[in-house]
Amino acid sequence: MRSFVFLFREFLESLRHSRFLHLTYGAQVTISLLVLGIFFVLLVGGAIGWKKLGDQMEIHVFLKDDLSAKQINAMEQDIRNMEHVGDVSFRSKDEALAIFSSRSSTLELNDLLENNPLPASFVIRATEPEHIEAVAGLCEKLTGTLATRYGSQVVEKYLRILMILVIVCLITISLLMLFTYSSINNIIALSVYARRTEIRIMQLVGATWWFIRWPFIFEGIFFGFLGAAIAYTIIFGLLLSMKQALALSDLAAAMPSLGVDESYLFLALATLLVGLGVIVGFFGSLKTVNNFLARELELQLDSIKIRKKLG
Amino acid sequence: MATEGQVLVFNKDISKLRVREIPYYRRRVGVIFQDFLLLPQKTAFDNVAYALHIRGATLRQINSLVPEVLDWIGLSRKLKSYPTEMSGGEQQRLCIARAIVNKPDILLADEPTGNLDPDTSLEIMDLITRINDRGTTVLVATHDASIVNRFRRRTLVVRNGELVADRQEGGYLDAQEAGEHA
Repeated sequence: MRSFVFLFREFLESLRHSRFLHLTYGAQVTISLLVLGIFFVLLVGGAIGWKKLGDQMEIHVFLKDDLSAKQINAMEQDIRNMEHVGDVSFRSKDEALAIFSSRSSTLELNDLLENNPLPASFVIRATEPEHIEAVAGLCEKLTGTLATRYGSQVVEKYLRILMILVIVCLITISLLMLFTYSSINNIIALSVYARRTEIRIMQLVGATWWFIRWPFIFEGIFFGFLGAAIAYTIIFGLLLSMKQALALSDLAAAMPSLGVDESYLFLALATLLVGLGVIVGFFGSLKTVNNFLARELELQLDSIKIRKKLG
Repeated sequence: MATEGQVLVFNKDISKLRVREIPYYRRRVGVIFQDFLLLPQKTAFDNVAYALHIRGATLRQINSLVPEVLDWIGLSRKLKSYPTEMSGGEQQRLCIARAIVNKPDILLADEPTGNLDPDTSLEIMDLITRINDRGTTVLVATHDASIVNRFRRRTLVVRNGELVADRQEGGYLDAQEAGEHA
């Protein structure tokens, strides 16, 4: 514990002495995590929007007028037995007329027509938005089907764009994770190099490897956490101001709202950024210092045996 | 680096030490360097205390041992000075203080007077002799014939990686002897 306090003070002192290096370190981690966080928000937003929009998309299977109740029941059973079919509900001719009338209050259809021209229908929801087209295609082939309708081309396009966005975000996030890891490693390597004399002195007066590693590990964790906190604050601020701006315009209604999962999104974002920053900081420091110490040992002892032992 | 034979320290072949054993071996061997290797951002007190922190000494031990060693070495007035504010001789004294504060069994001095003027070199060698008189085994590597001849301790002469002389009464090779061994 005494040593731990001493090492923590050593770390604080090192912060004070190499200000420029540590400023660069902090900036690099913050920028990496900020870009990663922005892509994460886009990914979650895209995924939520895609799911919500997909959920709202219904397949309407309009039925021929001459079907008996038995045929309708059999047809419903066929639809329920299809793969990727979620919810199925029957809408009779009367219900269809009532819905139509409620939507066009100025037009009294009953007054104009003797018979109800609207067909009965099944309203189907697919389990996943990407199966809508396939389910609609199967329904089209049923004998009692008059016609099928689902979504609009615009919505479909929007869904495709969201899907591409999600894939691009996933790929970018994976690449950014690698980039963050390697950039943190590089900056720690610089920090280790800047303090190589101190490390050599530590070794010569009998410091264990863990004693040498800890100040660098503190450094990695500190900057990982600090970078994550700053990146989170910036993204949080951006999202809040975007939300306020959207609420003032008609766009708000058209955009898939993130409101429902807001707390989840912010928690996930904080966990991702802090977790990634701290874990990468810890392991990056450990790996870099280990490499340096192993190289030093090799130089000092020129022993192939030790190299093998270190793997 | 030796290509054959053994290096036995404390009855142990140091080439066979495991990685994790090396720090504990080093704690029993104090080292002094030609270029001092002091931490410039730390005061004289902190440079010496550093070696104690590494061994897990308590603050009470550090606060008692460090001033005692610095006083013995003649730097009691320089506790709060930084290495850059000290002369070469003082820096070497500080290096010696750091090396002996853990009371090592062996003191290894690699060209301890290489960067010092003749008078300061003699002061440092006197100090090293005092450490030896206290019971610490001292091994000095030097090219300075005048130092070797003046102190007349056991001298091992190594030339081109080979031991060419071992003298109990000391004395550097004179020109004729050097020619014979060349």
